[in-house]
Amino acid sequence: MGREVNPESVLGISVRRFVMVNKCIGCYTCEEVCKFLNDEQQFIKLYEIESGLSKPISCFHCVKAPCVTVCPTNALIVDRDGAVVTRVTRCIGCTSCIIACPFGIPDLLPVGHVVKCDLCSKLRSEGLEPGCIAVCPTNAILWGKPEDITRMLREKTLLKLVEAYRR
Amino acid sequence: MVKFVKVLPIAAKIGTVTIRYPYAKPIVTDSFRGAIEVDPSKCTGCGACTRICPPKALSLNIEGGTAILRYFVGRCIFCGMCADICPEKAIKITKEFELASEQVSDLYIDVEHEVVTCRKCGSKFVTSKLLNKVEQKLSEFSKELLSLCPRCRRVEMLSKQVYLR
Repeated sequence: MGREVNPESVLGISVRRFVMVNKCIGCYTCEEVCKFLNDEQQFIKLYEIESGLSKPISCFHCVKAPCVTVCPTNALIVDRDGAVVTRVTRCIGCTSCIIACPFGIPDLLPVGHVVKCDLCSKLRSEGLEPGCIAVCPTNAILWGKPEDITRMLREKTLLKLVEAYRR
Repeated sequence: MVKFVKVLPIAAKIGTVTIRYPYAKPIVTDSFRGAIEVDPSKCTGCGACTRICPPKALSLNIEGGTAILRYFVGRCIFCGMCADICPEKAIKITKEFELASEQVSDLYIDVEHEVVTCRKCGSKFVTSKLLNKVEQKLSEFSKELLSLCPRCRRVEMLSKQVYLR
């Protein structure tokens, strides 16, 4: 499903990542891979909502991103693929983006600038998928064009409905 | 000896160049950088200046119910980076350089800010001014979320996502 990389979707304008929380088994693999790829910083992180129930959260790369609107130095931009990325050299560490983000995603480093998930821009430039998506053992993290993902999810719910009728 | 005599008519023509410093105003150039001045009405307490400051003369600490932006003149190297970086342009470089004092307390200049407490975990995470500024920029934003600290927001949004299914 989300496994095979469609070159068109990688180079296309808007690629989205979608986490299917019900499929996630809370194995922390995405977190470890993210740590490995980004010098010990985790941009996807699991939180324990209930005892024994951990789910991942990471940047949603909003289309109308509040962090981008609020940034005074335009350090946060939406890149070619539609991912919200930080330009470290421009960031002044004013923490406005952290306050603006509805999910509280950006992290402030002690050095004085903000870091956040960039959907593995280095891997993407080589035509590869972001680490968390490639590595997820249950394919809970999907990646593709928004219309493809919505279509797939609709098909899934339809299938479920049909199954329920058959019984 | 004869060479020195040549200077005398020039000196007589120009007159005295030095000024009576403590009584007369000192001559400082336009590009002179002295102590900084923080405008409390403009400052939002975001702490960008404290992060750029090379000698860490500026510090932002949350003590009790207030966030204090402290400027310690004794450490300042007068580089002016804080004034450059301030997103609100609240920091002004003055021409003030006579900063010696007998009291150490005179070397500290504080700007106090109100802090917002997270309604879930109770941690003080941001000054209310910065929160208001962000709120103004994002008009259609839920107030409920803004009163949560970043960590609580993550957990809150995650649990919403999970329990919807």
